[in-house]
Amino acid sequence: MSVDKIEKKLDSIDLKLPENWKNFEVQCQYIETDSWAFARRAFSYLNGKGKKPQSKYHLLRNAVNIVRIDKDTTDEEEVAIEKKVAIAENNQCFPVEENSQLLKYPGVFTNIATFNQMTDEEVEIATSWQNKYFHYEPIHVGTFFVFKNLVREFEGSKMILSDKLLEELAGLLQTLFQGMKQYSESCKEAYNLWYKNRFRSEKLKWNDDAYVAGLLHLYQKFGGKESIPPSLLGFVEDFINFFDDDLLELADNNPEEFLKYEEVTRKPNPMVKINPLKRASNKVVSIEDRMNGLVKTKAWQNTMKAWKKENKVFNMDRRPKVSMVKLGDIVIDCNIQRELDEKHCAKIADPKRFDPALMQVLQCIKTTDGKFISTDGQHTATVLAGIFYSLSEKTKLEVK
Amino acid sequence: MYHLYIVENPKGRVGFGIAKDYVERNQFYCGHAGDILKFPVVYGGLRSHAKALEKTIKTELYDDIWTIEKENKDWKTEWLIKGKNRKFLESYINNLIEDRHIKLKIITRDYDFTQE
Repeated sequence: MSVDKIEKKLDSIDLKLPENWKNFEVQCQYIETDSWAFARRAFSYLNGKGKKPQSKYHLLRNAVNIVRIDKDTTDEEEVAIEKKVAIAENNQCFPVEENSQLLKYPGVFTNIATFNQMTDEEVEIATSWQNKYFHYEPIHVGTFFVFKNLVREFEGSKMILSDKLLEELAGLLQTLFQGMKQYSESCKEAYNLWYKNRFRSEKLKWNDDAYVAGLLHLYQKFGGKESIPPSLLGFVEDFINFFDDDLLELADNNPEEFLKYEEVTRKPNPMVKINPLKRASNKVVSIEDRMNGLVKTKAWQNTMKAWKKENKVFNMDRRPKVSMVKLGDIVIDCNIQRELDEKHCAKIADPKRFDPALMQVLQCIKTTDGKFISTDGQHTATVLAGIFYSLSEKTKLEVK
Repeated sequence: MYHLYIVENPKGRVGFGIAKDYVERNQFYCGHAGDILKFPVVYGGLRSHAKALEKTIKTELYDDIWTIEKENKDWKTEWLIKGKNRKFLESYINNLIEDRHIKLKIITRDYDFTQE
């Protein structure tokens, strides 16, 4: 069927809300089969196995692009994300995808999950500190953990996070570790040794609070005098004794020298010009462009060699069919799909977000006795049924 | 003391690495290659600084590192691509040491274990 015909057919569908949810027709993609093994496997593939999940960076990029390119500010969460990214960019810090070609540039970071958990103030202080003292290297996630704890505990204790402390911490990191990346590695090594020694256990339980605790204990060992909230120092203070001896011995003579930060000449950061979140546009590429890139790769060529070796053929009969199916005609096999998550359903139907345009095509198998058994989409189907049931003149009185 | 070294194979490809015992490390290289391999420069200093500098090389020279394509995941070696010679790598490391106040100093040049 041509696209025109399908669109005309869709246009002809009765767009009135159904009185009975069972009669509402949804788009359904199905395979005619009686193989339940296929259905189970299909559920696994459609829900993770074999599917490339969306990364945290992609979610962030989408939110930023919606605000920046599309100028759509209707979603508070997206606006908040864009604002936080702008704070970081203003300090020459840039979120990028893991394994990105951009990881060699200063100021980039990949740990989006931790970034998302930070407040605007924490992002401002962490990224401006990075830009002031370590403008020549990527941001290590340890920086985010350190500043998240520092800002929260100083505020909670009603103490001032002084510029002097920030500079001396930078000095300590520079003179002892050449920055946060090596500090983080050394900190984990020391923590491992301490943990094994303390608990006689090989199963390490890393604690992200150790980043800030180790740094502040080292700060005091090297003669740092700025006030620090006791809550930040209560964490396993003796673990710093497990840092390298050649580092700890430096505290024996003129330790304050190691708190002095030495300027590093600033060079232009290429990310300012090539930051993908600043340069984003509604650029499109053809499938042909994508395919041309794909077929050149060794991984693809090896896969195609395997097709030949195994005499694999593309079986046209195995392509799924698409049809409009009444909700009432679809059944859900409890052994294939997960338990219904009612809270997830309520989130899907959130009036601020719900949009029929985002409805997913249901995935089913159609057995020879004409049953449509859902392999993916039970939450979508149940939410639709729930909405029509709850809005229907006949049944809405039952809904309290 | 910890060390960061530049290594050069008989065909002129250069690489880098870190080791506590650079003498033993040079013996390993020679044993694998079946030939004498030189360490054109060996730097010595704090372990944390040697490790940090090695990380910086891997990050900043990402495009200049010789990568061996493998089925699932490419293998980034600790050798540079052809065309990047010892002069390039030594000059890059020396500049980093000076610009970023890295506590490493050259302790020997053109080293191989037969000199011991």
